[in-house]
Formats: sequence, structure tokens, C-alpha cells
Amino acid sequence: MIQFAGIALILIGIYGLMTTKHMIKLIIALNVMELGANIFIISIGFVAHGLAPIYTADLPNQAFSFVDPLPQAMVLTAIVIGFGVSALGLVVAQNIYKKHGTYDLSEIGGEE
Amino acid sequence: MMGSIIWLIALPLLAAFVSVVAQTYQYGLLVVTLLMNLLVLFAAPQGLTIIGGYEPPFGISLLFDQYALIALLLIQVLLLLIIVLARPLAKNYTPVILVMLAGLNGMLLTNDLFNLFVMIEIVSIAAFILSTANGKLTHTFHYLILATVSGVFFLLGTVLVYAYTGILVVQGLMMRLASLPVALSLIPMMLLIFGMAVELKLVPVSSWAKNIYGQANLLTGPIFAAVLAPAFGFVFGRMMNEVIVLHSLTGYTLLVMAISTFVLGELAAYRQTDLLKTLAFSSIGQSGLAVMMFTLGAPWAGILLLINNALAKSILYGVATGVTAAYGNASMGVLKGVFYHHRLLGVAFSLASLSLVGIPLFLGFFAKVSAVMAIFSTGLIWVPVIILLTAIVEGAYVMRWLLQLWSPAFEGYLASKKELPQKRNVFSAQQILVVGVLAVILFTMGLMPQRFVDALQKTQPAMAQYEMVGQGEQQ
Repeated sequence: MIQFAGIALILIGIYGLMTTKHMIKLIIALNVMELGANIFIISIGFVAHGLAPIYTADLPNQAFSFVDPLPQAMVLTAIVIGFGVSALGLVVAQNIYKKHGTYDLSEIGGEE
Repeated sequence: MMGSIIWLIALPLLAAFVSVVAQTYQYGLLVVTLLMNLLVLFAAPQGLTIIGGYEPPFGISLLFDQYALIALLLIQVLLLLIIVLARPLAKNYTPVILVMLAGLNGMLLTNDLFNLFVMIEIVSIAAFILSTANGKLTHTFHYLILATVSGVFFLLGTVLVYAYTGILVVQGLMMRLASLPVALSLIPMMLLIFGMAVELKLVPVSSWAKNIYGQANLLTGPIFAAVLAPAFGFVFGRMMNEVIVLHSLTGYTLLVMAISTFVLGELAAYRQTDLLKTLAFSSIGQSGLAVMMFTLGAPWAGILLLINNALAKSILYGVATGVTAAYGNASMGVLKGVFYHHRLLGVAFSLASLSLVGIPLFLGFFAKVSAVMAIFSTGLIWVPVIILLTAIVEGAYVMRWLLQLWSPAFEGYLASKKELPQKRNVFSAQQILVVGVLAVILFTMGLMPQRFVDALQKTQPAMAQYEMVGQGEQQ
């Protein structure tokens, strides 16, 4: 179920990327897509009624009900990368706005 | 101390942080880092480097073999020469170049698929920032969106590979993936291929390259065409060797994308009357050819093409962006006869052009002959025919540009009529020397190809498990 939510968000993000020329909306669509990917990744390591993979004194009884920690580590890294790209994208968009007075790429046209 | 290959990633990262604080010494730090990287390359033993004591599949490891050595050596040497060539511009982007260098080295060394994704993203972010040096921010934005979407695809492919195999170790991953049912391995393979397609400039997602390469300056042109492009090519070669299982669908999809990129890129290059745009489309076309070689099981040819293209493009972009900056325009009309004033640059440009086309006695000739011979042996006769026909188109536009830039038949006439562009200062003596060194390297490799190929032969163990199109299904 969670996986379908992730896939749905990825598809919504792709739809957004294909249907808008507004730079801020493009970055939002990109973030929606990344969010979907992150939810999908988390779902890979999901274990029903699973425990956080933290070693405790009760380890022998808990080890088999741990959720997979690797997808969580991947998502953390992917979130940081996504944040960096979004920030850079917003800076670029802001500078384009300062130069052309619009966020709409269709109004700017080609830059030769 | 320098005996560990991990310094190739750690040193540039450390230097990047230091360069932000010690801004006066930024450029020197970049040069010293590259020189130390070269020392590390020759001092470090080949093999698998375990990081933090966690052995695969639990930790990240670095794989340093002959294949990685060739790729890393090419990248360090070319980047060093490029930053000397474009010193004033490189000074403004030193931390970015250093971070990019760490990412490139990590990308070529890592033995972990998720770590590869991280390194690709680091390189991509550095490349976005570097592309702003062209002054065309809408092009940067376009590139950023396309590359990020492809990054998400690559990440999803990586996660699915982990979900199906339980490991992320690159070495030998193909054997595990090939043992999966086709229905399971098909989607992650497609996602990984599309995840790399943007950086490989494959049709239909190569539009960014036309803009970024076509508006390049003395720093961005050579870095994108001679450092980033071959680095991604080498990573793709590794992926084809160790990870990607080619089913009929994935194999033929990749082949169609590669052939379309090669043919359309070269045809578009033929139509251009702007030197930088011609080189941009040529880079797209050549990338398609290298991908085609890796896809069809001719990795030697792919490696040779990548090396030839990297060396040739470093000279071509260096000279082309230099004369464009000096004369204000890259159009054929403005640059007509420009080598009449700059003969040394003209000779270097001509040598690189001829090697790119594949004229005998140049490295490009051996690369293209290797490509055609290797593909003939696969039985796909129509592919060499396409390569040869497209090479004629490539030869035609290269010769047309050389004739225009040299204007041999009219140079005296034009000079007397003062129709030649007035001579302007393009490069300093130091910059001309760098272009000369690059030309000598390229020319020497063409004169002694066997010695060079012998060194390449040592990459054989890394290429031993090569898969052909459709072979994944048979396992």
C-alpha cells in the first residue's frame, strides 16, 4: 500500500514536470517526485510491527523483528541531495527572474 | 602515507574545504591536489579497498583496477591541463572543481551502487554550478531538471536492485541479477539505463548538451567535453560489465538510443554554422558511438573512443572557445581564415579534428577500426555500415570547418583585401604550450598505438564477464 503511494507521487511529479513551464512549479514537481521515491525506498525496508534497528540488551529477542536499516540510510542521503539540488534550482530560478522578470520559461524563450 | 587509493577522494574534498578559507591559495591548492592525485595513482596498489573495516556486502569498498587506473589517469591529466589553460576562469570555481574531482574519482572507484548514485549526484551538482559560468541560466535550469529526474530513476533502479538481490556491491552484481526472472530484473535495468541517459547525452534526453556545450567558455567546454563526458562513459562501461543485464528489450532499447544519438548528433553537427554548436552535436554523436560499443560487447573500442574523444575535444574546445572569446563570435563567417593568424593553434586544432574523424595514423583511426572489427564479429553487419556512413558525414563537416578556418585558397587574397579578421590575442604563450602538449599526447598515441593498446589489454580481467545484448535472458 505504501509502495503504491510512493509510485503515485512519482507519477504526479512526472505529470507536473511535463505540464508546467513555471520554474518554481517545476521545482515543486521535482520535490514531489523525490518524495515519492523516498517513500517507495522506505517501503522496501518495511517490516510489519518491526522495531527500530537499535542494539539493546534485549537484542536476541528483537533481532528478527528489526526493519531493514539500509533503505532508511539511503533515504537520509537522498533527502540531503534533494535538498541541495532544490536549493540550487531555486537560486538559479531567482537569478533568471532577476534578469527576465518572470518565472515562466515559455515567456523567456531561448537564450542564444 | 600516499599508498591508499582513498586519498583520491579525500584529498580533493579536504582541499575544497581549505580553499574556501584560504582563498588566496585556491588555485595553487587545486594544482597541488591534482599533482598529488597523480602520485597516489602510481603509488597505490591495485585491488579492493575496504573502508572502515566493514567488508562487502556490509560496507562500501573501492575497486582500483587497470580499468579504473586508465580512467582516473585520463581525468587527472586532462583536468590539470585544462585548469592551466583556463586559469583565470578556474580561479573563480576552484572549490566547485575540487568537489567535482572528488565526485569523479569516487564515481570511477566505488564498488557500491548506492555510493555510485551519491557520487553521480555530487558530480552533477558541481556540473550545474560550473555551467552557470556560461552565463545562460535557463540552460543550467534545464540541465538541472533533466539530470535530477534521471537521478531519481537511477536511485529507484538501485533500490530495486537491493530489494531483489539484497546487496549493492557492484562487482559481480550482474550474476545475481541475471539469475532473477526477466520480469523482475527488467524494470531496475531500464531505470538504471534511463538514470544514466542524461549524463551520457543519449536521445531523447540530450537536448541539454546542445545548450551547455554550445555556449561553453574556455573552462566549461573542455571540462564538460573532455572530463565529464569520458568519466560518465567509463562509469557506463563498468555498469555494462558488472551490473546491467541486457534482455532483448533493454538491449535493443539501449542500442536504438545509442544509434539514434550517434546518427542524429552527427547529422545535426553537419548542419551547424557555429563552431561551438558543431562541437556540441559532435560530442553528442560520439557519446552515442561509445555507448553503442559498450552495448554491443566491444568494450576495447569503447575505451579507445572515449580516450580519443577526450583528448581531441580538450584541444578542439580549448581552441574553439579561445578564438570565440577573442573574435566575439563562433559563426563560420566571423572565424573564416582565423588560423591564418594563429597557425600553431590551427595545427593543434587540425590534428585533433583529424583524430576525431579517424584518419589513418591518428588514434581515432585505431579506435574506429577496432569498433568496426568488433561489431563485424557480432554478426550485426548493418551497424558497421551505419558507423561508416556516419563517419563520412563527420568527415565532411570537419573538413568544411578546417577549410573555412584555414581558408588556404584565399588567404593571400583575403589578407590583401583586409577581409580576414584583424588579428587578436587569443592565448598566452603558456596556454599555447598547454594546447601543444595535448596535441603531442594525441599525436604520439596515434604513432605508437600498439604500445598504448598493450597497456589497455591489461584491463582484460575487468572486462572478462562481458554480456552481449539478450544474453541476460539465457542465464
